[in-house]
Amino acid sequence: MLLPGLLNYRGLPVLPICELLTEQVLLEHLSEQQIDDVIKQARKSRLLPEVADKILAKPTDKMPMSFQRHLHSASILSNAHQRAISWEFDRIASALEQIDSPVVLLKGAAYLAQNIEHSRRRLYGDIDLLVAHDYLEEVEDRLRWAGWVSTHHNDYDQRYYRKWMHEIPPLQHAKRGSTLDVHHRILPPTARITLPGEPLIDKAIQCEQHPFFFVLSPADQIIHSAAHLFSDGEQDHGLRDLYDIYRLLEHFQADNPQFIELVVERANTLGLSRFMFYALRYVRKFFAPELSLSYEKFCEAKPSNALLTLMDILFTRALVPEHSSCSPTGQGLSQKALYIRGHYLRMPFKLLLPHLLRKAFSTDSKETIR
Amino acid sequence: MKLVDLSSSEIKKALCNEGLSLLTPPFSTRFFSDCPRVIQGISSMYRDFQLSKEKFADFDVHIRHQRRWYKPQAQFYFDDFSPFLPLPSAQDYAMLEWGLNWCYANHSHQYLVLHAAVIACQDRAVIMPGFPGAGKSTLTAELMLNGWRLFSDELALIDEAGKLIAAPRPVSLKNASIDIISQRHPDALFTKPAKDTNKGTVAHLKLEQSEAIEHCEASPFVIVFPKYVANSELNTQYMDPAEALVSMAEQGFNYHILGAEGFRRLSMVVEQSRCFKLEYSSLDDAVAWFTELSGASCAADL
Repeated sequence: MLLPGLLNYRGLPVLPICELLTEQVLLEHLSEQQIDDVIKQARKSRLLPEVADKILAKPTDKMPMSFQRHLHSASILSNAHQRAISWEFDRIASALEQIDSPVVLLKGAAYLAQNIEHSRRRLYGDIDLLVAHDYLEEVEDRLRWAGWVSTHHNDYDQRYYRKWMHEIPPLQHAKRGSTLDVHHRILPPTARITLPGEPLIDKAIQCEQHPFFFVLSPADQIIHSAAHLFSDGEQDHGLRDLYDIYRLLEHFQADNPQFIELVVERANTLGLSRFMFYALRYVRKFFAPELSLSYEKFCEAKPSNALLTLMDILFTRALVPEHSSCSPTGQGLSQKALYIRGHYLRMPFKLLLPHLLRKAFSTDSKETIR
Repeated sequence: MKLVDLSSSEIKKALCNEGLSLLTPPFSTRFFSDCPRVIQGISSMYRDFQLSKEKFADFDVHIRHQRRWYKPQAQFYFDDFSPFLPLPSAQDYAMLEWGLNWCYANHSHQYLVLHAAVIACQDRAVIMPGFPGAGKSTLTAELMLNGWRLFSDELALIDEAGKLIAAPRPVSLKNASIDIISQRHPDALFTKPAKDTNKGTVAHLKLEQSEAIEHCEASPFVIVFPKYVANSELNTQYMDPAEALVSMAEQGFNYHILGAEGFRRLSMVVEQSRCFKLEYSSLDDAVAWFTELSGASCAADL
């Protein structure tokens, strides 16, 4: 059953959550069952506050009370996240003010720092920073003095991160528990497609609202998000990350109608156009059917037709929220395949095999219930 | 219609297939499980709960067994996601209750949620913040069995008006408390104790509720920090409201998420209440003290 299902797959299942997010459908057009599904899919993919905003903007009599309070609860949670991240900005700036090199905010933190519309309703995890490799040691030292200490205590993980990764092991604040990912490259040095941080740092721009920090140039922000979403092995919040890219494209395009051409050109220059191709393709499939196909054609490193068929099968499954109401057949398998692909892209086989073996026997990081 | 009105095969069929939706005020919960102990536990502990007719349930919770042949385990799923490490399969029912508490505490920021037992007499509520080893569950169970209305043995839900919202569910008792309560109340209905959990032996006690289990709210009037001290006389002491507020904030599950609003609500609660520290060893003495506080009206039917 599984294989024919995979091969016959054309297009996408209609996902009410994507339609609500892009305002292609209103809540009143959904059945009670669909509303139940949307809440749960949104909760699972960390998009509930954004869904809440879209729904509350167009109130309808049809909305049950029980449903409303989840929207309300999600908004309170996203406000708390924003407040916490803004406070961390303040603390990081104070810890790193002596650093004589730009400290660049990446991903979610950067969207919030620039006050991009949807970032106010986003849920945040770690804060990602990018610094030039030469300053890494100093940054780490100063953060340690301010209370951020390494979370990975075993030697293997420390070695693994420092030798083969584009970031150092996550740092966690001893008192507040906030986590920082300090990056010094865009993609790992061992990766098949690799990129140091410096070319992007050179084009970074000072952040208006938080002048201590820098953010990547608009085009680079999108390319960076795309490179991570489509090279990492885990798409935990894949739909949310894809939605970020969609909203960023929309945001920057409002200022510059030629923005997407510019992004593709820049991706071609940086050698990351394969990832940009996937980003444009799946943004179009999930959120923006109106997005012109021609942008994808400009990407230099398009996959072959055969590879693209396979990638369509994998990504259109892996990016759908992991919930029984919408999980397509083969989702688990697709995620495993992408996990292996992620590692394959990240390091050569002679490094990869011992690493995967080691990880297969290590325990995970969940907590025991109390 | 209540759960007790369904036959055991209907309950089992619902739990193993489309889910069993119950009104668990102030929420609704859809339970899924094909584990015999969980089916048995839900059937007996939730027998007086109303069935929900809505398609929408606040929480979809699922207990599954895994590794059936070698050290079998139970795993808790919320929205098809397991936030926790699995537990030995004998702890499956307890895991369901703990998991559901986690759902309440993490997904209802419309309330300020504190780790505290809440018990009410008519529309006035007593809050007992939950410091470990304080004996709040034992006291809560005993008061419930003496005619007080159980709001919750774990979670105080406080709304924007500073009122407490009832979230009655089975009471979790640990270790010696299980025997103490079952000896004092031979008719009380318990689940089979789950041994060697990380809280020791745990059993759940069915709600003793003469009224319907439905949405209910109450104003706080007393905050008690109980402490069980073996062989002690009953000893109560007024507590500084500011100290009570700070101690309660420490027991907040989402106090930091509500921010200033959390502080506002907690202040409202403390302003309406008298605060006490209570040391006790005899449950009878403690119940008598609570009865006196409430103006004797709660023990009327005993």
